[in-house]
Amino acid sequence: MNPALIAEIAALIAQLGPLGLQLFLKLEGALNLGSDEKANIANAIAAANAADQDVLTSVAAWMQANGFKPVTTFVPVTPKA
Amino acid sequence: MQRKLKVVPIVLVILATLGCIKKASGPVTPWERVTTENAILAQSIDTATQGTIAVQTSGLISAAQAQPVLAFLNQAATVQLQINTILSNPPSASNIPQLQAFVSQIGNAAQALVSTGVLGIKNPKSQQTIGADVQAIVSSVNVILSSYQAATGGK
Repeated sequence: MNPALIAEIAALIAQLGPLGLQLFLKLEGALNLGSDEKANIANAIAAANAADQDVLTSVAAWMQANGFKPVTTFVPVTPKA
Repeated sequence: MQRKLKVVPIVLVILATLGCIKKASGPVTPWERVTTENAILAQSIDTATQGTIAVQTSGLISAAQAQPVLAFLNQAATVQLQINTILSNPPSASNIPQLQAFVSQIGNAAQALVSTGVLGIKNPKSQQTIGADVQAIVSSVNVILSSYQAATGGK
């Protein structure tokens, strides 16, 4: 890793705490590939699917908990003051 | 306010990490590269989502402010699930128009989010920061599209 990237990740961890560290660990794992191309691709696709599903699950739960309608597509709404 | 806005900058890390893909043996193939870049973007969108929820839960931003941001991230994840399906198969030039359409969807949603000023930002400098962060997501998806085009031989 280059020094600029290390500095950026360090700043990220400082700003976000556990979330930043968690992301760093995930990136570290994702960036170091094994020798089997098919396995690497399968792992990357599985990781992307899992992350995307986690977003959908988390957002759906948050919307429900906060009284918003479920999101189907992005509709910009200007919040009330 | 500055602290509130640091949930999204994580995406900037993506752009810095894309050149750091390493393989135990042999060169990184174009297909490995594009799927790895895609996985990194997905992890970053997920972390941005968890960060936005955490910041809202802690009371630093209101639910009304967090809602459009989360809706955008939800949209990005939904689009990316479709991209994942395309990337799970060997790169083909015939898929490029569909990928370009997905990139446009994310770009349009990002522009809509920025134009609403959803975080209630008064400081023009902060507004610009949000715009840059959202643009980083769009840029990352464009990087994936470029890598995919390269993987198909640039056709």
